[in-house]
Amino acid sequence: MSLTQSQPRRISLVGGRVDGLVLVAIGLASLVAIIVNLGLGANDIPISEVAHLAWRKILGQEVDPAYRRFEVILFGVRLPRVLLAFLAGSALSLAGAAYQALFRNPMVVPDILGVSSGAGVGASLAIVLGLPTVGLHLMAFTFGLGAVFLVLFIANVVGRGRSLLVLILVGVVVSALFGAVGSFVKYISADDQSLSSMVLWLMGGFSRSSSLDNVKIMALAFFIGAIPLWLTRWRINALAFGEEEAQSMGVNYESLRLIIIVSSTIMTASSVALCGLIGWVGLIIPHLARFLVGPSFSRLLPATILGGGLFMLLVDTVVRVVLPGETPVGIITSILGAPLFIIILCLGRKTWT
Amino acid sequence: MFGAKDVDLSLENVSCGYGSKVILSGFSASIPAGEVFCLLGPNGIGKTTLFKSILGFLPILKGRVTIEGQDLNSLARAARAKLMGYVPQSQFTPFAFSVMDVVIMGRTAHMGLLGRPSASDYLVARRSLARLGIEDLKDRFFTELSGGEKQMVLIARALTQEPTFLMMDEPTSNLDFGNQVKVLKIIRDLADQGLGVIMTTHFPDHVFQCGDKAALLTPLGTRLVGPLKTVLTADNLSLAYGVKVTVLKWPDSSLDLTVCRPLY
Repeated sequence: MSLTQSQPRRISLVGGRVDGLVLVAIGLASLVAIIVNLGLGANDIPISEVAHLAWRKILGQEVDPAYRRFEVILFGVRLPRVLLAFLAGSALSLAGAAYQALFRNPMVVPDILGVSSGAGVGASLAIVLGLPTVGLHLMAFTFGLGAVFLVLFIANVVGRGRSLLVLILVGVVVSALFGAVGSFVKYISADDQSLSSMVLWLMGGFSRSSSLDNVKIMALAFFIGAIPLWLTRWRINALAFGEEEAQSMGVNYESLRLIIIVSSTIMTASSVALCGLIGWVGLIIPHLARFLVGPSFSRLLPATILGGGLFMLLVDTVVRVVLPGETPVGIITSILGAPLFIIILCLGRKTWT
Repeated sequence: MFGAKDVDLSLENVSCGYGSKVILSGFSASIPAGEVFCLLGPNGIGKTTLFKSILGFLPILKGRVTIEGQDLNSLARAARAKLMGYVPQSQFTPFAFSVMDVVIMGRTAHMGLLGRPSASDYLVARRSLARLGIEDLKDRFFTELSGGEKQMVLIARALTQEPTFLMMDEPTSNLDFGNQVKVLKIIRDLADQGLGVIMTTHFPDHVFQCGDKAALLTPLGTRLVGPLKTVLTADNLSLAYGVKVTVLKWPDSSLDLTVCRPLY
């Protein structure tokens, strides 16, 4: 009980107006972060130039030849990366928030039903087989989805689909199984080259997929997952007291649960497929968002989308600008995430019982 | 207030249980809106199973449950929720929802497939809080309320569904003496305003305070259903619970008071 009762109470006053302002503030901060981020890098481009170039692009005007070099860096390299990082952060955070509502537990992470370990196996196999990047993405995505459907299938057979506990336990088992298979694939991989690619892939990063095409794919997956969650946001609130009470309030529980699981899985699987394993975001950002705007999913959903994107951008800034080379994102999220999480827990300490 | 006159909830020869295991079979009763119907019996006799089957949490193995002739099992969840509200025994959620957040959940069935609560939905929610005299809790965190306050909020949430019948699972079990009395009085008031209430309870005294009819399930497999004075007699209660009790009535008509007391 003590773990699930540790939810920090929110800081803001209860009331739509205050929450609205918080959301607007996070939105503005995200916008500023995106613009600043576009200017930062090996070649610093002044903010004014970024704004100038973006404005020209929006108006569809020709760019001055003197700035062409900047244009390529800005729109060909940095913009896709910034957008990819933002979308991946949004997708993982939203998936985490949705799962936490479904499982009624603030400690649940988007990986709980095995999507990440499944995707890891898919990616490792693709590397062993020497598939091109697109093949790797597809394999990772398919295996991620496959792992979750396997969990749903087994849970359905074992617990006749009724119990969330069965679902979680099967998720743990299948995750462990896929983890072992992943290790086995690494073990049998013939050369050190592919082994190190696998390890590096699993640690996560944005540079490998920073193309506009990949951004489009990630955006598509994000919207496929986020729109159903947006449409059912008020029903998701009714899950807060459990299955029976949700049903008594008119929620078709089985279909809502499926909507949440499929939506979250699509978002997480595509994020893992394109960017590798990035932990913590799906746990911390929903916590932080609940702290700011409360647990009502109608406010939590936009707050996690913006907050997750913003956090991921911050992490990628550290990777791209502060640190030399290309440190895997997964490492930085954990290093930044762990103390952040402890701070959140301290702020909510009053309600520990 | 509810305008639901002459509506009956009928249990017709209902069998219920888990999977193929029948716990209770052939149970019949008719409960009109505007009355309080109390379900009593020792632990493990099938009270909760029956209760959950009426709510649709468990499938009905045989027989049917109808409101105005309409089989509840044939209704979609949302349609059912507009007829029947549920006040659970447990009051746990891990998230710090405001009381208004919780009460507005009661409008879920009215919101339409993809909807959100409208201004009129919030009006209904505020009216429910006002009926129970707990408007001042509106902005508090549900997780920080006392057990009694939580119970009131969950009743308000069920009223916000605007149902014809209210299912209450041991509505007094986690409350102190004062709050028990308060809740029993509210149950009586709600029924007088036209709502049908079906509640499970372990306390015959609570039934005497607010009930109209009772069903007593006994270990011999008999079910006694009817008005309190024929069902909750000393003999029946002693038989059902396996302890010797007496039922005392206030000697003259100046006070409508009946109490149940164990004899040692």
